Amino acid sequence: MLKELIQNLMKDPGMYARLQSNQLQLAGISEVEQRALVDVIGSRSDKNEVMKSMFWAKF
Amino acid sequence: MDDFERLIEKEFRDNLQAYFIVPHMYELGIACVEEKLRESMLFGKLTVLHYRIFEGTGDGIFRAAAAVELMVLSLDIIDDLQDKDNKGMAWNQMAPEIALNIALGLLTLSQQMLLTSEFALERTHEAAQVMSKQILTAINGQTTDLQNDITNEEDYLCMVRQKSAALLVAACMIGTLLATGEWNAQVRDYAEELGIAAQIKNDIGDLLNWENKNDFWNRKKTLPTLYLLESISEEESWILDYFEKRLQLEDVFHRREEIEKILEQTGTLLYTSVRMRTHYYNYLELVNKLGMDSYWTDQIIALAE
Repeated sequence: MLKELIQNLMKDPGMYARLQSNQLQLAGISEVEQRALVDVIGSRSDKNEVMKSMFWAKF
Repeated sequence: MDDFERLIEKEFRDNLQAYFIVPHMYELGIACVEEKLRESMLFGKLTVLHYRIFEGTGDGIFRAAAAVELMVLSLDIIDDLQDKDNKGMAWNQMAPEIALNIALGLLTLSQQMLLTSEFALERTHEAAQVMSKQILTAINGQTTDLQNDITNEEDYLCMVRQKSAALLVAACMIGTLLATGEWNAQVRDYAEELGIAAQIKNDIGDLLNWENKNDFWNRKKTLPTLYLLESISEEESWILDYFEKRLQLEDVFHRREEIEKILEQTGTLLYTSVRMRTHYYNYLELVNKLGMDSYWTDQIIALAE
C-alpha cells in the first residue's frame, strides 16, 4: 500500500534514491499511484536534498 | 467565456436588487457578492462549460451559473463564521448575526434564481433538486468536519466527498442537466475526483500555513494529520499527546520548526501530495473517457489548473 511504501521510503535513503533513479520496483500500489509518486518526487525543486519532497502539485 | 464575468455580475446585481429589498440588506449582500466577483468563479464557469459541452445554447445558463456561485458564496460565508476564518472578507466586517442572515438570503436566492430561469419547468425542477440535494450532502459533510469526527482515511474521504466534492458535482451537473435533462454519472465521477483533489490541496495548505488557521494547532483530523499520527516515532509521541489533549498549545507552540521537519521526514507532505495528484490524475482520465471533442476536454482541464 502507498502509505507503507512511503513510510519505508522515508526510513531508507537508499530506497528513496533508487526510486529517484527509477531503479525501484513499486509493488502493491496502483498504476496511477505509481505515476503520481514518481511525478511528485521528480518535481522537487532542489535535487541535492534527497529527502525533500515537492508538495505542491500543480493542477 | 468572454462575457462570463459581465453576464454573471448582471445576474447578481439584478437579482439582489429584486429580492434584497431592505436597503441595508442590499448593500451588505452586494459587498459579499463583490468578494465573489474578485475570485475565479470556477463553479459558475463549470456550470456554463458543461451546458455548452452538452450542446446547450443561449444565455439563460448564466442565471443558473450565477445561482451556483451564490450557493457557493453563501456556504463559504457560513463556513467562515463557523471556523472564525478569513477575517479580511466582507462578511467578517459585519456582525456575525448579520452575515449569517445575508448568507441565508443568498442561499435561498440561489434556489429562486434557478427556479425562475428560462429553461423548461421539468429541467429547472431537476436542477433545483440537484442543488438542494448537494447542499444537504455538503451540510452533512460539514457537520462531520465541525465535530472533527474522523478517525481514519475512509472517514476523511467520506467527509470530503460530502463537504467539498458535492458542490463541484452540483456545478457540473446543473449545467449538464439543463442541457440534456439527464443526470450523467461520468460527470459526477470526475467532478468528485476533482473535488477530493482540491480539498486535499487545501488541507496541505492549512497544515503549512502557520499564520492563519492551522490544522496542527487546531488538532484537525485531515489526510495529512492522520498520516502524521500513524508515522511518528516514539520520540515524537508528544505530537499524539497534543492531538489527544494530554498537552496544551502552550506546551508545543515553540516547537513549530521541529513540527515542520517532522512533517517532511515522516513523508507526510510526500504522501499527501501523492494522494492529491492521484485524485487529479483520476479526474483527468475520467474527463478523457467521456469522449468529448478535444476543445471541450482542454477547457475542462484548463479550469482545474
